[in-house]
Amino acid sequence: MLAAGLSVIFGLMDVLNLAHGSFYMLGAYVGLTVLGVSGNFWLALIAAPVALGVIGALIEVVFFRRIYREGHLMQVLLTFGFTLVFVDLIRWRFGPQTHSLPTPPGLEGAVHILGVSFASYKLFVILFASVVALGLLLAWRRSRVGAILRAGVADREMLGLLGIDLKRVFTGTFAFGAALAGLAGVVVGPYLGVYPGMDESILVLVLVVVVVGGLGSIEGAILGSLLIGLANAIGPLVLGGFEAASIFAVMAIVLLVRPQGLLGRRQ
Amino acid sequence: MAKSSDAFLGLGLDDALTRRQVLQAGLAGAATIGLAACGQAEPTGGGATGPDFKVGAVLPSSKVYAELGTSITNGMKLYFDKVGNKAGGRKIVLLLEDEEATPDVALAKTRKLVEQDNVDMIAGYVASPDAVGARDYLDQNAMPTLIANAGANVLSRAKKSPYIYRASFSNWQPSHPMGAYVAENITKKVTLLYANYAAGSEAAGAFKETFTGTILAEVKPPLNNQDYSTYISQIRASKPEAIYFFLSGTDANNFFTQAKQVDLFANIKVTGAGFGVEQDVTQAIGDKSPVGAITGLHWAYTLDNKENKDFTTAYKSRYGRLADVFAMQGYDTARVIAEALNAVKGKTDDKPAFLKAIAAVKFKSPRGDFRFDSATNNVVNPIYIRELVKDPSLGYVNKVKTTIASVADPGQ
Repeated sequence: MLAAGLSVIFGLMDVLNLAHGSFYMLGAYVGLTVLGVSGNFWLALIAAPVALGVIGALIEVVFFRRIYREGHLMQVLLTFGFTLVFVDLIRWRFGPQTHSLPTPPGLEGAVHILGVSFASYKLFVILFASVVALGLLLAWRRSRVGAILRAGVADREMLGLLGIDLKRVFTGTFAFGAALAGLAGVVVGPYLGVYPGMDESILVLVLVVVVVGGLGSIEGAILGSLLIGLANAIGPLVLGGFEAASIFAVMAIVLLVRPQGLLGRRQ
Repeated sequence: MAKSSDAFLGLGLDDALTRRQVLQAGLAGAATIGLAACGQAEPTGGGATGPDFKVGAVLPSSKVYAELGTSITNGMKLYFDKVGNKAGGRKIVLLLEDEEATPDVALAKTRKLVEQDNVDMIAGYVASPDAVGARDYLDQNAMPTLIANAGANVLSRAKKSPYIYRASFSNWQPSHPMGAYVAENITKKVTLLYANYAAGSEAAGAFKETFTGTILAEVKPPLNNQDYSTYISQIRASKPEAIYFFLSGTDANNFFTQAKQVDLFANIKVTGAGFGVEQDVTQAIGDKSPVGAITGLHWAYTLDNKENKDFTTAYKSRYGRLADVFAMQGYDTARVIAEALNAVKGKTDDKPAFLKAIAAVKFKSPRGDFRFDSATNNVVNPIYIRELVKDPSLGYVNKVKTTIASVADPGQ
C-alpha cells in the first residue's frame, strides 16, 4: 500500500517524496487518537486515511506546487525537512514512548492450519492488503481516474493538452498516496506498535520495493512488495545473520537485469 | 567566512591568513557564542560560591533509543533538583546533547561539549557503540566521564580508562547469574533469542558461562527488527522448554506482541535479561506482556527499600509515569556526580583527587548498595531475579524472587 502510493506519486508527478514514511507514522497516530477517543478500531481505520488525504492535499497545494520545476534536489530537501518536522511534532505531542494499538476484537487469537499457527490479525492484514491491492489494480486498469493517472505517467504534457486539469490531478494523486500511507500506518499498529521513528524504519524498505517493482506502476509495487516480503522472511533462514543483505541482494539483481524495475517503464 | 573572522579578530592582514588560522578564528567565535548561550540558559541561584560545574550529557532524544534517553535525563534532573542543583558549593548546570544512536554523532557531540562548552564532566551514552566510539577521545583528553547506560563489557575490560566510570551495568552482570538459576530452577532445555549486536551476544555469552543444560538453538534477529514471524518459527522448531532472551525497546515490544498473537508461550517459559520487560515495554504493550517471565536485572520497580520508594514516588508525581531501570540509572549517575563534588568540596581543578572521589562514592541507591569496583571502574550492585506479575494498582511490574548480593564484572 505504501509502495503503491509512493510509486504513483513519483511516477506521475516526478516528485521524490521522502515524507511518505511520515504520512505512515501520522496515520498510525491519527488511528491511535481516534481509538483512544472512540475505542473503535474500524473507525480509526477509516479516519486515518481521510485525515492523511486532507493533510496530503494541503501539503501539495501549499508547498509542492511551488517546486515541481526545481528538480529532485529541492524536493528531497523539502520532504526530508518535513520528516524532521513531523517526527518532532509527534514527539512533542505524544512523547518518545511506544504506544500499542489494541488488536481489534475477534482477531486476538491464533488460527491453526495444518498444525501451523497463524496470528488471526496477521491473516486479516494479509486479506485486507490483498483486497486493497485488488481494488487498486482494478481502479488503475479499468476506471477513468486510473486511465487519467496512467496517461499522466506516460506523458504529462499531452494529458494537459487534452484539457484535463493537471493541478487537480496532482493534488488528488498526492492526497491519495498520503491516504494509502495513513491506512497502512493504522493497519500495522496492532502488530508493530506506534512510535516516533517508525517512519524511518519503513521508508528504506518502501524505497527498495518501489525500485524493485518499477516506478509509476501499481502492479510493480504489488509485485515488488511480495518479492521483498518473501526475501525478508526466507533470508534469515537461508542466510542466518544476513537478513538485510537478502533484501538488497534482490534489489541489486533486479537493477542489474532490469534497471527500470520489474514492471517499470523505460525512460 | 574569512572576512568576518578578520573583523572578529580585528586583524588587518589581507592575504597572510592560513586556512588553519581562519578555522581557529571561526572556532573561537563559535565557542564564544556557545558560552554566551549557556550563560543565558543558567538559572540564577543563591548560595553557590565557585564557578558553575558543567555536566555535558550525551543522551539520545531521537531515533531508536529516544525513550531510554528521556528516562535517563528525567532521572538525572530529578536528583539534581532534589539537591537544589548544588553540590560542594558549586552550582550544577546540565548541558544536553542528542546522542541519536550513531557513534560518529555521539563523538561529535562529545567534542562539542568538551571543546566549545568547556564542560567539567561528561555523562551519558545509551548505546554501547557510541560509548566505545567516544572512549579514546575522552581518555586522551582526560575527561572525567560517567556512563549512564551503555553496557559493553569491553569498557570494564580491555578498554577500561582511568577517567571513565560506569554507573549502570556491564552486559555480563544481569545475565551471568541467570544461567545457573534457569538450569537449577526452571529447565535444562533452552533456546537463546537475542538481538544480534554486542549487547545481545555479550548477554548470551554470560548466560552460557553458568548454564549447565543444553542450548537447543540460538535465534539472532538483527537490532531494530520489525517482523518476528520467521524467528518465532525458528524458536518453535527447536522445541525448547524455555527461551532466554535479550531484547529491549521497540524490539521487545514487537517480539512479545507478535509472540502473544500466535500463543508462543503456551508451553514455553520466558526467561531473559530484564531490560525487555521493564516499564517502558510493559506500559507500551499492556496485556501482551509476558506475565510470569523470569528475568535478571540490577533493579525492580517493586524493590522494598526507602530510597526506591522515595525515587519511584517522586518520579511518578513529576512525570506522571512509572519509573524504569533507565530512569533509576540517571538518578544514580546524578547522585555520583553530586557526592563526588561534595567530597572534594567543589575543588575539581585537582583532577586525580576528583577522580579518586568518584571512585570512592558509595551510597544506598534505589537498587541497593552502590559502589565502584576499583579493578574495573564499573558499578558493583545486587542482581535481582524477578518475576513479571500483574499488580492490581501498578499494572505489569516485576517482583523480586531472589537477590544475589554484590555482582561485579570479572574484568576480563
